Amino acid sequence: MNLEHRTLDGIDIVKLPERLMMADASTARAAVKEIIGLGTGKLILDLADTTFIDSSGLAVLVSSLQAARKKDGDVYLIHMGNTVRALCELTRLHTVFQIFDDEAAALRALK
Amino acid sequence: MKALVIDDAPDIRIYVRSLLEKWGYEAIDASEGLEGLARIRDSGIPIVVCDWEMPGMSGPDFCRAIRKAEMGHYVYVILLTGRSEKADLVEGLNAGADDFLSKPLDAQVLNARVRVAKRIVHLEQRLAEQNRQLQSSRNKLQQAYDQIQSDLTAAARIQRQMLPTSDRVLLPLRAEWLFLPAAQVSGDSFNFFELTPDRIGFYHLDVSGHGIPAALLSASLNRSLVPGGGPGVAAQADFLDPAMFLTDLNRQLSDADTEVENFATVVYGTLDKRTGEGEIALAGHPLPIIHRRHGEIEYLKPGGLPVGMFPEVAYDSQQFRLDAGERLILYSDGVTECQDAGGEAFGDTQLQAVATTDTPASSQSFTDRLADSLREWRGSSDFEDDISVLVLERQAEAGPES
Repeated sequence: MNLEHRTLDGIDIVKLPERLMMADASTARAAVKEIIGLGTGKLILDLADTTFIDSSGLAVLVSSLQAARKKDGDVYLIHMGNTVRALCELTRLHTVFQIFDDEAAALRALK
Repeated sequence: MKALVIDDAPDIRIYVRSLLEKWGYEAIDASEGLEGLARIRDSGIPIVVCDWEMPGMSGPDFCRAIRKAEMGHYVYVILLTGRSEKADLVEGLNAGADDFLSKPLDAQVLNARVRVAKRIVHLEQRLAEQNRQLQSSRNKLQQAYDQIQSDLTAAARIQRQMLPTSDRVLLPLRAEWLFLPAAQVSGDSFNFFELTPDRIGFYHLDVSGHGIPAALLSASLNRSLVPGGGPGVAAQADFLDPAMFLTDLNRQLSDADTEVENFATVVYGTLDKRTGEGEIALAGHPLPIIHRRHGEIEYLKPGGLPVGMFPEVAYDSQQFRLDAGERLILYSDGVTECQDAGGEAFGDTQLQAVATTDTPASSQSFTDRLADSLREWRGSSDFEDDISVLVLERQAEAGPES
């Protein structure tokens, strides 16, 4: 899966796909993992396009966070839509992720 | 390579046959079409040089017969003819001839035409061999697939056997449940059991993902969540303390060094059969509902993260109480997230509506009505996610309802 990805001052900004479920989730997982492996561990995941997410999709977010923290980094989530937000709140995951409205706010916090 | 000459004229038959033998073919001859067909059938001959004009079966007749017959291989037919009219050629081709050779015979041209035939027969044989190999791998795949299907069916059967079969252990409490797995094997599970003579334990869980990995985690959790279910967390955990129980379970399942693939949302609680006093802890699960006696719906408070993600997570217990005629509803997100054809979710509101339309007079149970509503909403019985519900009820006191 080719995810839209750019790097700004050592911070990887990755746009997640529209569907983050089942098979799509495992390809996205591999792609994000590779980016974290090559980068500094500071990561912004952009969820602007992500409208379909299930528990496999949540596992992608959590495994990214684990991988980033191993490099003393962190994962910030931006542009979270209502569906993703609802699932994050249901599973209480909003308590472990830093969530920001937009990239500028996330960048300020990560720097 | 074998080749057959069919001609009613002995001189031509023998001439062509001897040419073919000279060029290295294993040549056979026949004086008429039917005999030719029998020869081809007997010895699998792929190349035929056949005269057009013959008493009985003509060359085109022979071609038609060959194309109709199941020889098990391709037969390349060259028709010998003195005809050169376009209509004749068309008739020959339509009958199934592959090539023509005009009389009087030119040995060099015949040699070239038979070489073409040989080339095409080789191609056909290679193709047939490839098809056989494809068919053989396809059969192996089919066998493997059948094996997987039958294993999955067995797994699903074992999984169903882990679900409760009766709520007798709860008496005087009652339970009802609903289990509609999306795939053959499911990530949802639930159960209840006696902890002390007065107190029962219960759980409802939903493992992330689907299929085999989810089912395996679900099965292992089922063992951990039932007293005496197996070694590990169940042996030492305090089943009477839901928060501590989930904290231990989570520590057992989470490993900071392995990547999170599957996790589970869990509700674990205990309930006093006599007093209706309960204690419950939640791990990322949809909020349980208490359906009060007079129809009000109450949600329990949110709990902690799902189990199996981060090792150091603390869980809290909360108290609740069921009065007579009240019930606790535990459900997986497959219920509320069940989508209709337009992609709209069933949602909390409809779940509440189905719960509250219940009356003591209603003969259909809540879970049956919920199953009907979900199928109607979905427009089919094929659900995208596992659907499961466990309801624990403290029965209304005997006598007239107030």
